[in-house]
Amino acid sequence: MPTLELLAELKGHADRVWLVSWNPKRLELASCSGDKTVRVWAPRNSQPAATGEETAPLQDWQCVHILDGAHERTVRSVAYSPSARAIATASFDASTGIWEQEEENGDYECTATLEGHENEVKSVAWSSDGALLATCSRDKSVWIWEVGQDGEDFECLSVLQEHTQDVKMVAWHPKEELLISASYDDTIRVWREDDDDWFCASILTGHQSTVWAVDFDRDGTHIVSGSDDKTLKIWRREAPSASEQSSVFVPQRREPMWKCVDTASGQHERCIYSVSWSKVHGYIASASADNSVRIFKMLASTRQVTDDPSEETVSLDLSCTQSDAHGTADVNAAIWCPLAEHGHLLATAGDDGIVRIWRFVE
Amino acid sequence: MPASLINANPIVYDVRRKTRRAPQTDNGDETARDPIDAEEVFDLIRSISDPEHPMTLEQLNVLQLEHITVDDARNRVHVEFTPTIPHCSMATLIGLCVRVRLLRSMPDRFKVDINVRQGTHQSEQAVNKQLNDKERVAAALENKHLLEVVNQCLATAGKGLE
Repeated sequence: MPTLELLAELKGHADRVWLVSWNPKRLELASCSGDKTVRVWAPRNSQPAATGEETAPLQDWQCVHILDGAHERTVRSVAYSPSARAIATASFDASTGIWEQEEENGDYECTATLEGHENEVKSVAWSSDGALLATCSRDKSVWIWEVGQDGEDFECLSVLQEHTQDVKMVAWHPKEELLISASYDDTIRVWREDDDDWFCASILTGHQSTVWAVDFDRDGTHIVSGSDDKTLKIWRREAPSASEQSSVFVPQRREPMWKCVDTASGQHERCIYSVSWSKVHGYIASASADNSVRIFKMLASTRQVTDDPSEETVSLDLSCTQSDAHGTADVNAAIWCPLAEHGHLLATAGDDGIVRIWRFVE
Repeated sequence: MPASLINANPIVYDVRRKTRRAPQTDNGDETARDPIDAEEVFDLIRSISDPEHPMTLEQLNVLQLEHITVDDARNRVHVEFTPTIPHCSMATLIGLCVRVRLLRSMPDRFKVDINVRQGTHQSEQAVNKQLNDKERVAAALENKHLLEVVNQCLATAGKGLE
């Protein structure tokens, strides 16, 4: 049986930890909290491994930076840019912060503050090439920002106001300029640009309550979503077929359709706050208010009677359950490390104010 | 008193309790987990003040012992409350007060669900969804004005039990 083995406990936040983001270039992660700060953590004495051997002991992490002073309220979301040169923070104080390391001492400084949302910013995400930034808020809108050359000039390209309730999370496609947003209105929306015009390309309906989290698989052909309805869903991208056009929602422009191909229910007992789909090994991690973290594998099988790829059936197969991952506290996030050599590391964040590092053992 | 009340003439109920439990004997085992029951939860919230009347939520029959469920072994608490009128605009605030009181006074191990009692409010689903979204609750509690109102309602909580 696969298991999660606890490697380290990162203590320091004075309030619940909402989310973590791994540095995409080196072994390091950032966590954000109700204590209005972000903490950056790294293994103690971590050195670039010259021999290819593991040099830093993964059991011993320390806080190497504290990003504070810029946000007046909870920092709800944190995200490293793809180049790892900047960290973006989304706060309940209605602003989004951009932080960069100073050259002299390596300290993080807030170099830009993006304002415009009317109230709590809940999520921030960089596009795969780092050229765009997306934010979303309780004000029901999703904003798309263009990142300037120097990384300090941010221009708002579009304000997307089609969700009917607050927007919980935004996530970019791993390769394309395609954005998805998850909302309190129980839907997921897919946004795309056409001739400088951002528009809603699809609406994914099916969840019975707030959708808290979404993530793509490595190729961007599937989405996993987690909801307050206690289920995870897998959505598959499909070319629009002529026969389906009369029966399902079809936008004016011919768009790929996203079809729900599996629903995992009866796993989590309470709201699912986080989903993470590893781009390294393909396992999905989910975190819930039922105190558990669960690891799933998407199994796909094609029926032999037809070559039609839409006949492929997929199912989420439970690999491992870690009960009480943060004791009796809600688990708010479970995020896979994106580094190929450390892909089996999982970071979790809890209402107990602690970040935990686990190793997934297959 | 504000000029126009949402419910100007609420029914006030007699809250003298017919039975009192004998205090539980402490057998001196300090490692034993202290079990919690519905009556204890009720005691924590019954004297919360109504946001618009100088009465407690128990006096207005908004909270009743029978509508509280506790599963101590599974760490679950479920509180149902009954707004005095189906269009009560204070319902969310009342639910928030109950939630904050339990957040502050219950052991961390408990998961608390708070709902409007079925069929007693016209926006039942919307109120329930908001009260049980912890992100919305966390954001609301960072709003100084709202927190002041909540604290005012909670100033009477726990009084009159000694």
